[in-house]
Amino acid sequence: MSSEALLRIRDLRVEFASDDGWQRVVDGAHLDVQPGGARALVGESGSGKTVTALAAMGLLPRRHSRIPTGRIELAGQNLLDLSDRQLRPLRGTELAMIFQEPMTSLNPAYTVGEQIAETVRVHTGASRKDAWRRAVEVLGEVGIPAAARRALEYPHTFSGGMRQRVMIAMAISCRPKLLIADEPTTALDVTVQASILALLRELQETTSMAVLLVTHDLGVVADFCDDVTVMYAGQPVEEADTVELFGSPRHPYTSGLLQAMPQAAHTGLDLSSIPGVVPRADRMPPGCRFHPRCSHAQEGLCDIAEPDLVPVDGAHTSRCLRIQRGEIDELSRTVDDRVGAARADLDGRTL
Amino acid sequence: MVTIVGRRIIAIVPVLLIVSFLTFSLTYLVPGDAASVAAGDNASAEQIELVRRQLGLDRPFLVQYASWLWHVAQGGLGTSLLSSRSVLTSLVEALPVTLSLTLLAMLFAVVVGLLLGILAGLRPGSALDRIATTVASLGISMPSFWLALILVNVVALQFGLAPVAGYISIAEGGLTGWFQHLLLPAVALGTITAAEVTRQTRAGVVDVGGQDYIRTAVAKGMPTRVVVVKHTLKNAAIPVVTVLGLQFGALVGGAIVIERIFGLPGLGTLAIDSVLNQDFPVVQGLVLMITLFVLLVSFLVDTSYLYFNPKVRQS
Repeated sequence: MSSEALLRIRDLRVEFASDDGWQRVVDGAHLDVQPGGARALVGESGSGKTVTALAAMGLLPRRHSRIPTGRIELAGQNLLDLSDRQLRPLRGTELAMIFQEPMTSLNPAYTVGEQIAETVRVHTGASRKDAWRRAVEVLGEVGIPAAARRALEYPHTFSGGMRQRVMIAMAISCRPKLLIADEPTTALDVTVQASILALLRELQETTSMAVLLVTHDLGVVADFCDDVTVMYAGQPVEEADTVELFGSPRHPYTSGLLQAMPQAAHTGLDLSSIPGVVPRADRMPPGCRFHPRCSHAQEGLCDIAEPDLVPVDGAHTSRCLRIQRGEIDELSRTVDDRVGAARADLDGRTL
Repeated sequence: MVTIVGRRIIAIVPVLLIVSFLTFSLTYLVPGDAASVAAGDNASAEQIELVRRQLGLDRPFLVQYASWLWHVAQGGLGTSLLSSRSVLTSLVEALPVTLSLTLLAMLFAVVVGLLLGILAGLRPGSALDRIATTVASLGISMPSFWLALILVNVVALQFGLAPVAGYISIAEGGLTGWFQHLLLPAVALGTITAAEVTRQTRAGVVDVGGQDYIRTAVAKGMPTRVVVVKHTLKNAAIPVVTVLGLQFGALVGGAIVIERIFGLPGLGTLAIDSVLNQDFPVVQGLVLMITLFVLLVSFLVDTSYLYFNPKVRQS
């Protein structure tokens, strides 16, 4: 991986306190986000993708979580070495985050303008007047009509999509180098989803802000990200650039996710699902964590040996023993054209 | 917004009317005769009847009420049956004492309650939280008169840190003398309220602290002070302010006992004296004034919701 990555997460482990002691919910997260690039972090619920994102922001609940090992480097600086006080000035200016729930992520007691302006004031020391001007400006940038008037209103007068736009405005108000977007469209109507994604893509392209997009929606990924990291049960299982990953997935889990995309059905392929659910942190199966749900699992191999994430094709890495041994190669053929299908579908939505 | 405030002010009037009617009737329902009280201990039956006619007590009940209400509306609360002084004068004399006492008690409750509540609520389950919660439980279960006696015994008598009893106005003893004399009564009176405020604040801070918008505030790099004071407290304030409003009535009630213990010449002392002597005009005036204050406070509490919760402003 290139050394000039903006965000570098290496061997990150995150544990949560439970009644039975510490449960490891992220076990060896590994990803890079290039400056100005867009990386997707994909997986089902419970795969550890949101926890990884929250860890990068230093937002994990302090009393109930811990990070035994790992590095989260932002422009070469390990954020895990920083105290809360040292991390604070970086939040909002270097890295910012938007969340899944726009309905509850804004403070109901303050106007949206104030919530953006205070961010500007705290980070830049701007006067109230200048900060307010910036707030109105950035609200306009994210497509809020009549921004000067709307800035004076409270969050409850905004719809879900508009609130997510306000969240984005707040996040970009101090021009961060990295925006972490945690399922930014999951809680929104389908039509609104497309416009929010279009906005994020536009901001990423015009401001050279890097984006780490956490999502379970591969359609979104195909539309906007350069690179993809797929996580399963707290571990990255595959990593590649988007075209490569969609064209020739090298992990049965990724292949399963691709076949479960609703967009796939449009191309005449059968829509399928992955049987079972993500195992709980305290009930991880031995061997490959995916093997109980994997149609390619081989007895005596996958249920015993724990695979590592290793390169299988250039920069394309996979955590599958059978792929690494060259025993499976038919994954690619079942998912041809998925990128095209997904892109066509999303463009249709955007229109 | 103006109409909301206006509506709340108008709503005070009927409540005052009802309360005035109830207190006026109550004094007639209790055993005892106002005329014989006013006529003195050794009055003959004729003298009592004369006084009754002079005071208008021989008229029908509703006529008496209407006449009394008419005077009240003009600012007259009548004269004391015992001292023949204007009721209003007695009330105005006693009011500053009780007001000082309750406001100081309130201040004590707010400062201590907010501080303990915030510290506890920020780290639920921590040692500090457990201590604060225990102290609050103790505070709520301690009767104020008992606490008052303990305080007098320990702080005033054993350590001599405060006067045992008595009241000095700011005009007489300056701010220090006034404060010294009210410190123990205010702490004794305000402890239960402080405990209530602690519990409400803690609950509010815990609840709000888990909200998504607090995470947003942290994520955008707000200093802890701003996250707590600006983003958390304003949202946690409504139950706290509500409790404070409710507690105001309790404080005025509690002041009656506390004033007795510390020998403070406030409304409480006046209330006890006039009730024991069946000095009905004073009792009626007192109840009416205290009702007015309680209504005023709950009006302020209602109005504060407009500030704390923007959604209320539009409804």
